[in-house]
Amino acid sequence: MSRLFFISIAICFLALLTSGCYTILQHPSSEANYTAENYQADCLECHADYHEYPYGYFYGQYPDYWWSTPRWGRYYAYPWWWDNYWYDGSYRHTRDYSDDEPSPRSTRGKKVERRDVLRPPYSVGTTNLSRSGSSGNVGTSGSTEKPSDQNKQPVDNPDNTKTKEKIDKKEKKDNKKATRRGGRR
Amino acid sequence: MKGLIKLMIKMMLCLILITNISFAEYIEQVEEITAGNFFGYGARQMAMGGAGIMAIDGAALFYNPANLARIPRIEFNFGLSNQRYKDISTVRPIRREVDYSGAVTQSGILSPRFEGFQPVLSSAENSKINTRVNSAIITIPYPTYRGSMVFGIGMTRGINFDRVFRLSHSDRSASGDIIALGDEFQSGALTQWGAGIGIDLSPRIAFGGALYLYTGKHNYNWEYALDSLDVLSYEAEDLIVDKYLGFNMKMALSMRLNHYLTLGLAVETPLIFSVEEESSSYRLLDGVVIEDDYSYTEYDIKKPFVFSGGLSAQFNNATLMADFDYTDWSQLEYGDNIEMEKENINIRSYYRDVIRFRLGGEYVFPQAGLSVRAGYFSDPLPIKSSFVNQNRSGFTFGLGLLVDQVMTIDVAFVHGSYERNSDFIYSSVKDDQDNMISSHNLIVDEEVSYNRLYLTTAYRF
Repeated sequence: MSRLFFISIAICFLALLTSGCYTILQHPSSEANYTAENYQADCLECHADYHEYPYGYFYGQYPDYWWSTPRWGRYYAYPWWWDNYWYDGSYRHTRDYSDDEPSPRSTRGKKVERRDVLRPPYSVGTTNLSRSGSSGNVGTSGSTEKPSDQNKQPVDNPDNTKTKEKIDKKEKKDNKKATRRGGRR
Repeated sequence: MKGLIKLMIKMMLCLILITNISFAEYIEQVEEITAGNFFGYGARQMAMGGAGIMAIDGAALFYNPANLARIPRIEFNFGLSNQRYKDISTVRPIRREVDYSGAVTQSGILSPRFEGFQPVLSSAENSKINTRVNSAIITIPYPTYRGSMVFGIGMTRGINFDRVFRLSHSDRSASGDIIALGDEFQSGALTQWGAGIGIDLSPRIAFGGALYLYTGKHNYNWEYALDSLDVLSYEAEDLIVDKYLGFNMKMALSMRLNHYLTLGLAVETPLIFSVEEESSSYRLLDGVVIEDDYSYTEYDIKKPFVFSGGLSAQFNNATLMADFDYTDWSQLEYGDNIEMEKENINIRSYYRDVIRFRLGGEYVFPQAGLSVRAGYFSDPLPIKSSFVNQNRSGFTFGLGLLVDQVMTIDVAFVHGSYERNSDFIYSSVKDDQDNMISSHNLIVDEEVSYNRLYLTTAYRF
């Protein structure tokens, strides 16, 4: 009898805790015409404090070396369902190129990042993601541009066409990423 | 004349041997190997003195299920343990007379029965090495939009029965010596199966709960031989097998107090064991079987609540951890067996409440992927201080390696020791109902030390 009592108490307690608690398994439903791209492409649009409490995981307490030595951060901090965003490199090739169409090649710019540091998901191009209690940039050089930079027209660049193409590709990439992350259309 | 001496010795030895050769009955009946017996699991935790309440890996399923919520990746955790156990026993050169009817205990009494014989200070040593699977745990984080929800399932061998003991005693007289030699060999373990969940209640607070099932077997073997003056030889052997089945649960919280400190609290509900005991024993006197028994019994043991707390402080690359837990072992109870329930009153005079504490530290060399750990633990024996010569404590150290970004290899070394004393019934007088009236006991001091190695590897997918 006492066994049954303990189990009943535990189940009730667990049910109370899990109903309406902080942990959310899926994004709350929004207006019907508010699509995945809207809320997943850039979380900061809706959640201004995203960088302090990134949805998906709270990372503010992690030791400093987890940021400077990414393998520690990956082991201890990155949920497995974020991985294809940053780790396996698939996010770098989201466009489906046909066999006949050669992949775009560029002889400009920096080499592609390796083993990016801790960064919450859905925040490509967002900036100044500060750790709690500090104000340093979270990402590497590739993630330090400001959102407004995305729409800024280059003035001194002689090759404006290429820059526009890059921006277009980036937007497409973001949309595909959002779709892949389970957003509803 | 010589024949008369031999006859007297023979009569005296018969009196000695009619008794069950065992520890003092009132202790023997309540001596529970599962009480205050924590073997430990998880090399990282054990390297830090066993401080695991706030350590974050698969072993959190058993230390603090709330910390499961801090595991973001699917993890498979597997561990091995190796123990080198050593027991040095010394028999004091005095006897203690115990009068069971009056419950009077007197030390240093020489019974007229032993007139002419002088006990000799003697010691014996026995050791044992065992390697066992220590843990196998899988943790599975469920994808969440916010917060964390992680499931864990696995097993560990947190209670170990691998022990040995040897008794060597002699009574010296002008006519010759009586020599007694006993060997005790124990093996087995309790396997704790667990299934739990850790879930974030807020960005800084996580709750966890786990259900545990315990299964295991304890093998006890006692061999005793006594020889004297070529007059008489006596041999005894007991083989006892206990099968355990029990369950309980643990509920826990993990809280981040500030940027540096985290706090963990856990409550483990009473653990109820169902025990099935089979035993066989035989006695040989001068090569003739005088006793050959088999017995079977069932009873329950209820272990009390365990309240635990742990604090972790993080400063750059260094982490300090401190754990404690409180258990009132005097609340241990027998049940489901009237004869055993009679012993519950003796439990209160033998067991006491204890606070265990563990202290440990870890320093990480991030570029090398290396962690260096050390710790200290105090794990007092759960028995009254009159039976304790020196409480159980020890030190630990270990190393951890983070390989690539997916695998950890941890190794820990634990050295612990304690000293205790107990009575050994050497001779007794029983009434018609086979109840003990009085006995002459030897007082045996034991120095127990153990070195344990833990190897744990975890792979995070």
